[in-house]
Amino acid sequence: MVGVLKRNLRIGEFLVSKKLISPEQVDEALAYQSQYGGRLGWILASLGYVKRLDLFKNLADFFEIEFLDNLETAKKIIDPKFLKNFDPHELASCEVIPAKQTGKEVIVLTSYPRSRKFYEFAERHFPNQQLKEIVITDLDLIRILESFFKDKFTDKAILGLFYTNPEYSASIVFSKGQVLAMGIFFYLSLFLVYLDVISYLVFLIFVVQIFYVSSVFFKLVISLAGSKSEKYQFITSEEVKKLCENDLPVYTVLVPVYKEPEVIGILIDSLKKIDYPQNKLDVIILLEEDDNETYEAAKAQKPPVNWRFIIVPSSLPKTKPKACNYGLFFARGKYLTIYDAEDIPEPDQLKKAVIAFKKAGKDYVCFQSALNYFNKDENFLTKMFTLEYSYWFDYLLPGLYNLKLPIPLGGTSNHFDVEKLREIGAWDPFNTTEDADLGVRAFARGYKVGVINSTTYEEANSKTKNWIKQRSRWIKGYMQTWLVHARNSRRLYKILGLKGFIAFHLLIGGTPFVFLINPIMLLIFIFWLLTQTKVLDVFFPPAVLYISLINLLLGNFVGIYLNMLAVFRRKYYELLPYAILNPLYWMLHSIASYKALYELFTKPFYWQKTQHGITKYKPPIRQGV
Amino acid sequence: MKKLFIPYVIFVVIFVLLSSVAKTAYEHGYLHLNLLFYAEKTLLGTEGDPPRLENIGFVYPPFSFLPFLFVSDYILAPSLVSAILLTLFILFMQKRNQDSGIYFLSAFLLLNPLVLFLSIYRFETLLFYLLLTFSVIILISYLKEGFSIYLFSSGILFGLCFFLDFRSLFLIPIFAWIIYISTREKEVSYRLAILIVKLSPIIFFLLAWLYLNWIFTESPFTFILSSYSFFTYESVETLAESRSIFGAVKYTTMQLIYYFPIILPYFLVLFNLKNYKLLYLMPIYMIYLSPVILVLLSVYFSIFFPAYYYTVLFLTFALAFQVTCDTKVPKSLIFTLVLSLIFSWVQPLNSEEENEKNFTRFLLTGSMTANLTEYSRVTKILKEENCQKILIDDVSGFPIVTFLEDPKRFYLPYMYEYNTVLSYPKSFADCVVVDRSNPRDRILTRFPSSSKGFLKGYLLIYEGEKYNVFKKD
Repeated sequence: MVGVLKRNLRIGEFLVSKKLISPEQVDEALAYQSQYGGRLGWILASLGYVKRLDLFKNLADFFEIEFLDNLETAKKIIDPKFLKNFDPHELASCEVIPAKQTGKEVIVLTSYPRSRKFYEFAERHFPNQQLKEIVITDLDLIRILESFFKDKFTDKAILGLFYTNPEYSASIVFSKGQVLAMGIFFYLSLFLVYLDVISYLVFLIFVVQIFYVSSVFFKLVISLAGSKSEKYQFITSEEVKKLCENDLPVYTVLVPVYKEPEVIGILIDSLKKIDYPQNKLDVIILLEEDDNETYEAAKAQKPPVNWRFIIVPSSLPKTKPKACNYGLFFARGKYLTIYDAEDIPEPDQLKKAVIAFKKAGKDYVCFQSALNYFNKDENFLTKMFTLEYSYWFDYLLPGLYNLKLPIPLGGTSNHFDVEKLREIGAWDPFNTTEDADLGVRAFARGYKVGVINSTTYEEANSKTKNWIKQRSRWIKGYMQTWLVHARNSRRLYKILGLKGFIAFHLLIGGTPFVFLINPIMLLIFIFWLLTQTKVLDVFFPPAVLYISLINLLLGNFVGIYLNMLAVFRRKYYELLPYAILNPLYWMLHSIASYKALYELFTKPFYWQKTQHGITKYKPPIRQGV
Repeated sequence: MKKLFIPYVIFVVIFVLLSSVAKTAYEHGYLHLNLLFYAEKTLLGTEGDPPRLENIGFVYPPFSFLPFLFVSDYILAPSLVSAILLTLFILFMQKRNQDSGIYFLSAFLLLNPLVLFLSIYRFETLLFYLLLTFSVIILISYLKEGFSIYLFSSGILFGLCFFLDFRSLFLIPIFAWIIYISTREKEVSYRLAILIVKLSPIIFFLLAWLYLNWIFTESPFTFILSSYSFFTYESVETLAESRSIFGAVKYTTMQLIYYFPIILPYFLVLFNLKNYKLLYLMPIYMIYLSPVILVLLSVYFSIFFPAYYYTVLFLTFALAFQVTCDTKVPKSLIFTLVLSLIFSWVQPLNSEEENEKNFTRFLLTGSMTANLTEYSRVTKILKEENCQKILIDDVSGFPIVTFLEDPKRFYLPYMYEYNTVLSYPKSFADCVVVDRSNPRDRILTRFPSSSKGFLKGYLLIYEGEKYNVFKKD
């Protein structure tokens, strides 16, 4: 929307006349505008040439509208009863607050005067009525909405999914059917143990071994399918260069942080360098009420106007997905992504996501970027973690995509179509791997998830205890995701199809199961190896013994060999020998799994915060793969 | 469906060809004893007393037994496997090279009596040759194109070769050297990574085999040290040249000269390799010389028998490299292939390997030296006499066990109670089969008089060329 001439001046000239900016800055902003599009005032503010308060005040002056810079004064104008008639989510989306109606005139507070959304809102709710606009800052608008609708926002952020699709909410950890099934299994086991303990144990061991074989074969097939992606790039650098930047949409970046003052600067630095028009970046830093230190650290970075700080009201569960749901209310973008505080996305990642959505079609709700680590060489743990992630994002996820199977999303750098994200109910705040759950839920709703060839670099956990805490949360989340979606197997099968159904159980359910079972089988093996006892022979009749041997030898070998594949795409050749040490690394997974299992029963929604900023390495900005 | 039609037709044609020849030869009383050996061991593994994996012995490469696990017909099982392999090889050649000369190459394969011999009777050797060829070609694809899946596939295929022919271990240093020199301009981590990926499968499979030997036979080296080991010497001549590198080189050179008319295409392709524009030519030459190295080391370790079927490995290498390196099949190659085909029908007639000589003669003349007659007769006697418990040493008597198809009726050396039965057979066995021609036959060793037809408590009911059969009186 072009600024209306005020006293025969354009907005840029107007601001120059107010001595807020220089003519050179206007020229720069105009050049920026011709390349990227957008409102000039907003461009000037995004480039840091105009402060927030000055922008809105002078915008009001330019349009000859009243401006209120005092939050309390603005609140006093509002008639709460009148305001309650409106949907707060619509108000947040349109950046409008109908304050009160006096006769035929409606007083409306807005941070986006004379915009298309404003006029559409007015047309919808106040046709043929006189409107009196009052400009307030965007942050004041948020604060006002929060003060009147905080409970609604919080309620929806926490229970939105539960209200719309309770069957998909992890707020119920075990469904009645699952509790019943567990009970039946327990009592049946007791009965069978009483009847014939040996046969029963043989049967259990046999089932476990069959599962191992299936799991290994599944991973092999997926990896082979994923290796095809090495041959081509979904989005080439030529396509990025050819992208018409004027047509780029507003892109929301959610940054949920908690007690991370030492690393927030990394992401802020990365986002400042990202190759995307700053005026079209809508960065929302989501902070918790009791995290003043991170707030101060973020403010100290002096972010521009297009950055907003939103304080998530304190409520349980205190989780990242809840914060993201809260932030989603205020998202302006057509697309949205999430970054953690220590993330370093590749500069062209957002553009690649935009191209991906254009190329791939309307069925796609999300594109997942690869995640990897900038401190891979720090110690054994970071090397193994890097190998694991490289395999997961460079081969396994592309394999799932190539075979049209449900994709469990990664923790960050998932790029969403905002409208579709809202439609499927956004994130489940009760799930500690809300990303994996969302990927499966999207698939179940008929949407597709793709992968893009762009990487976000993070800090790999370099301390074992910290690693176990983080991993236990992820595995707990996988357990939750499996429990949620397996509640109604018939429905799940109908939605996912046979391939998707099997893949879901093997990947989502199978991953924690394998890690839980591994120590038991390993102990049995070690016991036999050390004692050479014949006592165990009865539990391993020939068929079971042979399958067990295949799993012990071939299964472990395939797991290690596939992990070796991980180094090639990124040329991390020095990591390859470490793949041989995977059995040790898997033991850590097992420890984390038991912790996860314990927490699943005792504190299922507890979000184990991962400590960041403990690496010795300085994070670089990496080029594309 | 259309895509699968041609492969299906090729497979059916080859399978019908192989199975017809196999059946006809069988009707003439001939079957390669290896097949009966594998079938017997598989039978013991699935239906023995008790049925267990370790009954296969863990001495021979295990993949030899696999087809008989799924197809009990020991005549058709090898033909089925070989038909699949040859179909895949032909499709591979067609995919790599759309030249019409491919059809000639395919026909060349199917008309070569040595290929037919391996297909019908030594499928495990054919599979080894083809897997090794594929492994090498895919490694070259990796060096050329750099896609990691090629390297991994090459490593796996090479690893699987170990389960077909333990001598594939000899090629480890060769591949290590090839990788070393073809990546000399790259960083150390890259070279190490390639090396590990290529060689870790075969090394792992070796370690796994040692482990399985240990848990099932109490010694990890049973497959090497057993008197029935795959590694025992085969030929007196090669034994003479063993452990002497000069002797081995000399012997190998002589063998190559003997093979020359048949493996002429191999040398022609070797000569043409220099036209192939690949970054590192030396590694290509070295990889191409793998068959020669394999023969040389087999001679050195005295596990080589001067059979003509070794030439099939040279020919598969020649064909695979030709279709990979060149878009057109040159006329000179076709000429050498024709010559090779002619000599492959002629030279085996003078082979020291009786089986391939017999088979080639059978293909040419229709006449065959039967080798099953005695076994069939003994089996018939055992059935007619309704022998329920039979004491036998299956070191040489395995065909009889296979023909009877009921291993539970036998007392065999793998069984715990065998020595007890052998000590006092009258209490256990109603029939005893003794191989007079085999001095290592355990029953013969225990009861020397049995060779003359005397066994206490038993009556001689059959005396053939090799076997005496006794029944409890």
